[in-house]
Amino acid sequence: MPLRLLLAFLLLSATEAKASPDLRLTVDPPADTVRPLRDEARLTLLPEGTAAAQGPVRWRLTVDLPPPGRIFSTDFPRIEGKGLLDIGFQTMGEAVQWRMVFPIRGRYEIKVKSEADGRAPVDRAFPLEIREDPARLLYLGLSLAGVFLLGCLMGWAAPGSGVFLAVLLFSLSGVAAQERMNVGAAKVGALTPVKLVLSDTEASRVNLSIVKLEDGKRLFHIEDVTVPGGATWNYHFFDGTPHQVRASIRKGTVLPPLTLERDVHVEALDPPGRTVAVTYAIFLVPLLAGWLAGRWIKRLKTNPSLPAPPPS
Amino acid sequence: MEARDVSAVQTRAVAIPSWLGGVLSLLLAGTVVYLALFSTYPAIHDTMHKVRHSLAIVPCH
Repeated sequence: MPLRLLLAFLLLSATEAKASPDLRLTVDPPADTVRPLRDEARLTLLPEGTAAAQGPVRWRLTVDLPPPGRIFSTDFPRIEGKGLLDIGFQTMGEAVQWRMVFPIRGRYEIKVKSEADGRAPVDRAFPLEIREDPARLLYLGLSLAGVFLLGCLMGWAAPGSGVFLAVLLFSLSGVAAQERMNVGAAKVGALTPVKLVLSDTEASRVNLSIVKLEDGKRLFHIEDVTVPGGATWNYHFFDGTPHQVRASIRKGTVLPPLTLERDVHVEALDPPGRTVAVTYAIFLVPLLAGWLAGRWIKRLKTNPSLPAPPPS
Repeated sequence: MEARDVSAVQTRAVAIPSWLGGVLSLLLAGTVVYLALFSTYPAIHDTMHKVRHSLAIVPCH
């Protein structure tokens, strides 16, 4: 019996020594108010419990995009179900904060791995649901109603109105130092490596931002992390427009930060044919319904108003 | 000698059967919707880019 107690004590002690902190992810503003492509969210990982390390913590952070829906596509079907971000870095202490824009609606998966001396590794996954922008749903409803009205107009006006048809057809015919940053060939649909090379292995503090030049919107930002000797981060440029990657590297507290900037041309890809076909079919339903309604209205207006034949 | 107005434009009425007009009008409307929302032709795509993104389900990339 004493032997069992001793073994249990030893096992418990080992578990205690290898304990890892539980991590909590907070999103500001709250995730249920963040809208895709519109809002920049600030995400913070905080340790819970007493096992948090005080020294350097090595992180691996990945963000996976929501899987494709069964019927309805998003505006970026090429990126659905793929990775958005895959980065590794170090921090002093257990807290990490970064900012990002979520490109599409759906359930994201944020995976975090961290290692530090004196504690067990942490491997956590945080699902995060991002809802569609209600304004977009309103615009979608309005556009479907517009398509219905277009169909209605065409169904009503078409028979015997060759001039109207002809007019429409006619109108239709018409840096310095040794630090450097390299960004791989960017293409929508795949992660792009962003390689940061630092001249020394000492802890230089790095800030990194990715900006879409079209509207100046910041899509990703992380600051005050260290990447001894450099690192290769992966980011999914989800929009086929020019972007810029900006890195600011600060060595110590005396020297001004070194800024590196790289313009990135992102190769756009056409959406998959099947996605286009399904979405087009969704728009054809109200068009056809409107067209039938237009024909029906036309028939109602013409047939009952026929003049009665003169008496013989 | 008879004077002729050479600038006159000859017009000719073409009767379209009801069913054909209906089908053509439907095809025309379908083509307009396709071009506006799904065409990858750069001039149309760039013009309609923001509209497509604002409709939640229309694929753009």
